[in-house]
Amino acid sequence: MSDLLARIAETIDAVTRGDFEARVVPIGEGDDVEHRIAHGLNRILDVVDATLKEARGVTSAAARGEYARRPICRGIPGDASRMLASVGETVQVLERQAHDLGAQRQRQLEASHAFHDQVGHLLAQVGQSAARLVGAMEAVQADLTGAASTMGELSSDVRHVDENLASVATATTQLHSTASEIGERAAGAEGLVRRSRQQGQSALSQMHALEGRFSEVTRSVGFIDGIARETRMLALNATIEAVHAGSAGRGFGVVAGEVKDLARQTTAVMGTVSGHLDQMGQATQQSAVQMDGVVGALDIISEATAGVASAVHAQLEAVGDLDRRTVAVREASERMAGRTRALHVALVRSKHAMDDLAHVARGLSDEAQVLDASSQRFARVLALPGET
Amino acid sequence: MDTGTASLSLTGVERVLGEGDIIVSKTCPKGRITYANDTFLNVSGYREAELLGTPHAVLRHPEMPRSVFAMRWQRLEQRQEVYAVVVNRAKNGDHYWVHAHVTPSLGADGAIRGHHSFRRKLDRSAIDEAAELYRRVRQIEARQRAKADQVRVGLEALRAAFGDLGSSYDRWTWKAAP
Ligand SMILES: Cc1cc2nc3c(=O)[nH]c(=O)nc-3n(C[C@H](O)[C@H](O)[C@H](O)COP(=O)(O)O)c2cc1C
Repeated sequence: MSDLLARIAETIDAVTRGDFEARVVPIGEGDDVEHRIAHGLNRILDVVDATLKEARGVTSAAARGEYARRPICRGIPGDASRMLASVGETVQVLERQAHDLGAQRQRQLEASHAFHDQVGHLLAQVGQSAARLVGAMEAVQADLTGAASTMGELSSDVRHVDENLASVATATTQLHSTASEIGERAAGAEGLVRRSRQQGQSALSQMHALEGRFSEVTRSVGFIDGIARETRMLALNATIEAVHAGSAGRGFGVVAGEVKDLARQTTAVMGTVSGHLDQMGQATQQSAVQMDGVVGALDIISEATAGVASAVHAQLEAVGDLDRRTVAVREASERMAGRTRALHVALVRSKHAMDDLAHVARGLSDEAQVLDASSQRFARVLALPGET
Repeated sequence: MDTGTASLSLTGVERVLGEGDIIVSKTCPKGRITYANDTFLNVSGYREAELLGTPHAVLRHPEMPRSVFAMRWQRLEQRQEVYAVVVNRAKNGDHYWVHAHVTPSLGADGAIRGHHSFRRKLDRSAIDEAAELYRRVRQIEARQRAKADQVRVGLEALRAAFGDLGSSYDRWTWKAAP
């Protein structure tokens, strides 16, 4: 048996014992079957090894409460990649549960420090604010991503409710056109169904408007990414200036200008997003109230249906069908009202995070102002060395 | 100052990884290569025999800040997995950017037996951002003569850009290779 073949056999033995770190080393050069098998075996082991390490990384990070660690699937093929993705989904569920606690901790971290008017120190502080800004931006993004998935679920609820209401309407109309006594009783229900359909439909159009707003917010969030990037560069510039804080003061003015610019940009984006969030908050509240109305109307319809049913001794198939439909649509409406409220809560939370963010941005702007003033003072001192 | 690496020739030609490419290597606890997969050989242009037993720093590109390696090694020694955005120098002087995930391999007694590195393609926008960021950090480091001072001021700059160096740098790398 050749040396390479012996190493291949050893590697297979090691893997069989559970050591996925084993590899065929060295392989040497050549393109015959043995070499190709050796490379192939290593390739398989690379994928298995990486998948195990990735899964362990994600789960042990989650166990430490670090939910942001998600599986990175790039380069990992097929089923292994899908397995990693489902590990990620599980962690996401865990994260949602821990989210509220996390937000609280974040806010504590962001508590601001008192600041000195010494230039070097000030520059360092600008860097810190910038980093905090990035952190807060990431928190807002996470909140909005959560809200986006609720939004998706909500849309499918709305469609479901509308379909069911349509069939309830058909069923009552059918009843109305049958025998006279039942017809009379059904007439009341028919009117009610018509009204609750209208309410359902107006909730539907609210939702459409909401989706439109949401895509605007999502665009703004993309913009936040850009600002986070600039903030990182800015923090670096501040450090560069801090390094020769002793020698020349010229750079400060530039950094101060950049800081002001950034604070202004941030505030503008915050304003836009904040406005959208306000409107979305109102819209969700309205549609939750409307859905409550639908639920109430459906209760009355149920009673009416029961009356009809006893009148005809459940002879008509349409009555049974109506009953089932009513129950289904009531359940869907309740679910929808619940999700709408959850969305409302998420939106309010994002709004709070935005307010925090705006606060940090204002702080940054103040720091820039002081920085600007200090650098002008400094420049004056440099220009007039004799006068003190 | 930067002896060794600064004098190496660079071609300025970038090698770009494919979506499914994975570069895998294993090292001893000190960073000497004990395994390199075939993609590693193809992309770096080295032969297996040239790499085995060689320090991983053979790939070091002069534009990589010292401080990035320093903070990554600190975490590895605490037995934590680490991520990094790295530019490497191929044997002929070409360069290639990677997203690196390095994990320590522990023996049954908890001692570090070696390290494992798994590297993949980076998004273009991440490469552009990292190039700019690293250029500035290098600029700050280059003002110092002693290696230890370079690392110290470089770490300060990284802290300014990322705040808490552990998780915030990590999150930045995760965005770079979804
Ligand atoms: C598993 C592993 C993989 C590494 N991969 C690289 C790499 O791809 N490129 C690189 O420059 N350094 C890599 N390093 C880091 C080097 O060991 C070294 O610290 C770095 O090149 C800096 O060199 P210096 O300490 O001589 O400045 C790796 C280290 C380990 C443990």
